[in-house]
Amino acid sequence: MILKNQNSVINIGVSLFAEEMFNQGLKVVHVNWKPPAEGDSKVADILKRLAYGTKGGKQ
Amino acid sequence: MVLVTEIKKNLYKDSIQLMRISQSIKSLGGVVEAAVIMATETNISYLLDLGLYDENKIQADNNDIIIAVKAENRDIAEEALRHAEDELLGRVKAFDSGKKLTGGYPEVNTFQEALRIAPEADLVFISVPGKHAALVTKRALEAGRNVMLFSDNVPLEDEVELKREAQKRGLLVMGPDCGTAIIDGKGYGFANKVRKGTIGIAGASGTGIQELSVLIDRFGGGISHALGTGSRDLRREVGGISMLRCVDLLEKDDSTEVIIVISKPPDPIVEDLIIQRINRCQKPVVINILGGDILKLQKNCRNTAATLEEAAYLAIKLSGIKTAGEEEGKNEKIKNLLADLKLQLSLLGPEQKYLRGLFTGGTLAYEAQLILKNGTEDSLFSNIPLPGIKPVKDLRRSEGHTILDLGDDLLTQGRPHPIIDPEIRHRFIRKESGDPSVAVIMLDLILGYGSNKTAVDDLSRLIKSLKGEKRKSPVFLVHVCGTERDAQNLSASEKLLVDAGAVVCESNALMAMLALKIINWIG
Repeated sequence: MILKNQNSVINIGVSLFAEEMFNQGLKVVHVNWKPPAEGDSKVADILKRLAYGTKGGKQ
Repeated sequence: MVLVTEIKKNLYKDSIQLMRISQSIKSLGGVVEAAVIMATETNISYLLDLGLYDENKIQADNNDIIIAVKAENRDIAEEALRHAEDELLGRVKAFDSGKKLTGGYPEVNTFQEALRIAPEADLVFISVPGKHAALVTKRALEAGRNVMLFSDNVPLEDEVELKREAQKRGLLVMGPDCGTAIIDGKGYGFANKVRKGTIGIAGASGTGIQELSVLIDRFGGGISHALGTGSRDLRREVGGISMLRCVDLLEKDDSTEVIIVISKPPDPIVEDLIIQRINRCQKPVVINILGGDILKLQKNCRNTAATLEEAAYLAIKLSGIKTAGEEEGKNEKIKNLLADLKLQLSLLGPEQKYLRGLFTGGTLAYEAQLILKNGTEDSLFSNIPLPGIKPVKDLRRSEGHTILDLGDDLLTQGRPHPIIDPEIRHRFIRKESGDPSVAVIMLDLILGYGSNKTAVDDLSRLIKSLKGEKRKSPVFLVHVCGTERDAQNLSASEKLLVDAGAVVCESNALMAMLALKIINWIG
């Protein structure tokens, strides 16, 4: 065994993958992820630095 | 004919959702052409090509979404625009090319809610944009879950921190840029449905894992698990953290008897670490470093392979399975394929000399370069060039022999990967086919989970029409990376392609070897 549970997965992001996993019989919960500050990158950077405690990384 | 355009600012939708919305409004009566896309440079030129670019309306930057509709009259166009808006804002759900969107699994807005519904989940699959991926991954690790990080463009320093965090917690991070995994017979990301068996794979390459898994299936073997490490795991900064963990997991796993490790050339220090770990392993390990120093590896490791196909054969042998068509059969296969091609080759004109490889799988493009390198010398170009191979100067105009990885960042900018949306590749195929100096076009076709379900039909139709168009059409070589169990079915897919006039090769390596033989024969 690789995982403690090999029948259940949480999907964050693209729903296509949730569908493909679900269609194989896996238990799937899909998170409809949205960027922090809905795409406003300046605010998002600030939030990330606050939460993550890094320089913000190169992008 | 009327063209209407609207810009939506600061609205986030991933490229696949946008693709589905585009398809949905294109199918409305009276709509001639439509696109709902992120306003990246690649997409703007796409709009231009489709005749959907209105320079008066388009003042958009990268984060904006453009809705462009060309319709028979203004009413229809604006109706389509409203429809697209509704779908973008979630007022209705888009259809996926006629198929009903699968309900059946719960959808929530936060990771915390997901944990409440699935507290037993031990894997989180993450495919959010790269700049946000590290934060999302960190939350998953803090909640004690393993992660498959499909996202790319994650800063290297984030990757290092995440993997160290995972190591501390005894967890695995597959990725970033991890496109493929198979765990206990289930496919994650882009993956094929393969026979279950005793061979485990630990790979720093998505389509490399896919190719290995389908060849093993074809040769009569099966996969216990296939784990990805992400493409940068074996760089010095990352130190092979995930690769080492994957080897540990496969060594401990009861269903695994043989392990294959695949990668491109690692940092030398990391390579030594991996070799030492492999040599200590309780189970036989096949090491396949594509483009690596094969002599050094043969000196230091018991089981080495230079190509994905060789690695598959070797693993099968080590697992005790007898298979027909061993290594020696390779030259025989190429001879037979060449014989089949005699007629097509005789129809080529003297000006037709060049090979164009249009790949959707990065590792397959890479492996093809490796094989073609010796024999095409100065005239080989690529957008992901190996050392010694020239970089492509202009993606819009190929020269000499060119191998393109169409899944590369620069080309996918704001568009779904070509495994999901083959449209970009079709445009390249038409262009290369129209180039009078092209003799051979080489293609990989990837089946399985995550891949476009009409890709085989679309490609066959395209090849058939191009071959019908002119007497001196190039030779089309295709390798289908798939199995009988994949929804698109390997043999049915191969038959469609053969009927369309393509030459089908059972492995990527064989296809590249055949291509090399052809250009040497022509030249």
